[in-house]
Amino acid sequence: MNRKIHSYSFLKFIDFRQRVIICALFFMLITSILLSTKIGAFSIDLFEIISKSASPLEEMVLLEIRIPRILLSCFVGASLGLSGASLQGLFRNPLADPGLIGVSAGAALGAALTIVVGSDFTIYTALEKYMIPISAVLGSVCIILLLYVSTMGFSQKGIAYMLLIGIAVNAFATVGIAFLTFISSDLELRSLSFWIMGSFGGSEWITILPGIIIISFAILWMIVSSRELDILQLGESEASRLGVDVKKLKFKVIISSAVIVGVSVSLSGMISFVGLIVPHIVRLLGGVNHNFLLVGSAIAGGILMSVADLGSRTLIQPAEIPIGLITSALGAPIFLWLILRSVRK
Amino acid sequence: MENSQRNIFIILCVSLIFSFFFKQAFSSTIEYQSGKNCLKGRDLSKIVVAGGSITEIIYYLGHQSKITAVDRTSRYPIEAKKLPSIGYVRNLSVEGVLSLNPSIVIGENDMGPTTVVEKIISMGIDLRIIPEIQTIEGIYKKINCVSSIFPESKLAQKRVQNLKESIKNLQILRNRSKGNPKKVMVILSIFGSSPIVAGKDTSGNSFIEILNFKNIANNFSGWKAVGIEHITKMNPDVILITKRGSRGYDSSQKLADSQIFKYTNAAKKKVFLYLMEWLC
Repeated sequence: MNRKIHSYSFLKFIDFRQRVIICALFFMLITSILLSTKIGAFSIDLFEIISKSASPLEEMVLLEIRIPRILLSCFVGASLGLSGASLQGLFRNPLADPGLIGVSAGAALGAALTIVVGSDFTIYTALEKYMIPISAVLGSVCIILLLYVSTMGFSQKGIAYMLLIGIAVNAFATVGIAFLTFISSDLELRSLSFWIMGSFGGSEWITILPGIIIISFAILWMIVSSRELDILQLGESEASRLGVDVKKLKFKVIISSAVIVGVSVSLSGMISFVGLIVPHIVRLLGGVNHNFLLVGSAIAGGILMSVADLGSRTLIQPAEIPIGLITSALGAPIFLWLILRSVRK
Repeated sequence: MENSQRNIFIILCVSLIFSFFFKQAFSSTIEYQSGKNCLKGRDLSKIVVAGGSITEIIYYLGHQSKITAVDRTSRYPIEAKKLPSIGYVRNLSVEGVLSLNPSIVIGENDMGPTTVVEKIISMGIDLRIIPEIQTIEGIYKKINCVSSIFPESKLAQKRVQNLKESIKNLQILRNRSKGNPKKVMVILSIFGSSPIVAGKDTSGNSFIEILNFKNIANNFSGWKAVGIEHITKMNPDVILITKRGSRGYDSSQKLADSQIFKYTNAAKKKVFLYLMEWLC
């Protein structure tokens, strides 16, 4: 029996309660975006902007500095939440995280290479703005290729093998970053540590637009596999008997996760805990059904990240708190609470 | 069982307190040494330098011929980079320094770690840690201190004299800007994250104050990332930026056109000055 699983009719598989939760999350996302557009160094009233009664400087700040930043934070949050949820589904392991397959470490290594030794190449002046994103994406592509080759096109030896490869790859990238930290000058060291802790400070339309387009396509491509991820929870062999092409599913989830995580890291640095925590919270709210979980995690990731970025911009004004610091500070206690809660049960 | 846990806890607490005092004892030894840091050197045949500014001062005074090795922050003058390296000034290794068999080690006030500094002293090596005060007088004192370690030479005297005159000229310029202090911002780097700006207690801040200008970013301390919005709001009149930290933006025009500075006074008047990295 080779029954094709259609997952395009997303609404068919989620119940009324889950629909209400998704609507509520969506409403919260819009609220957090509106709040983020208002609060900042300049207090900007959106109605004044619309009615053209705001000063030109405020308008420019909103349109060219604040909005790209908010958009990027939402997309990065959504992509981390979504890839966390789908990787947890694929590995059937609640501790899976986008960092686990080594792609974010690879992207970080690429970016670190540019920050520390990049200035020795003359290509710089022409492509400056794109150098860090491009090298980060190249770094993550190398990792994906390495994963692909070492797992024989994601077909060999099951999912545990892939996790172990991910751990090894992470170790390689950590060594690379440590070495670059060691050889860097004071200036590079500061840039590197601020970059690694994450920031949306460098957001400009020209740099974020290509990233947002790629992330959007990858999100759409991933969301349609939610029904197959549900069936995979029965086990790999059972799922293939029920008509799921497990190899293709692995390929799809890993490649799209790698792409969105690579692009996200390249534009914002390392942001930990979001991919791990968000799916857990969404599961607590409405259940484990992947149709609901993937969409819910994407929206909740967007909310979390836009609020975290608002905190990053405003808590110790005019300086900024690195965004990775905020997400870790929020994520670590939540994670601990989740573990303690499951033990008590 | 509970008793043994309590004992472990007490042992841990005692060792923590002990280690704290132990560290205090070490740092007080270094303070003690600092009294005689500027005295004439006993033997200057093999000098090891730890700190970019000290290397620069020794070259400025013309005493460079006896330098055997420098640390990794000694990037200027370029010839200094060809000398053997003892590693990073804040993370030196005892063996690395001792293997060069130095007759004297001259270091920056932030050389470390403390245990390594202590070890070098205990091995009987003449170690000098040059005090640092980040004012014009401080610069003069620092150069004088290094100069007094070496035997007097005509070139060094001439250079110190030149420096005195430059400082005098600088004072005249400073007095001119007294009435209307410009709002200045020192930026370390602009790539990757938000720009990294000099707050209070940084060399960048001292540099601005030496020029009698006002550091617009004086409401936080240390080097911090500052969002583009806040830079726009602070609206600096002059922006000092490191050459290496602004790669890709190699002219005032490019900096003025960049999203980061576009709406500031500095961009309108194109007042961007490049700093050399080793100043920070």
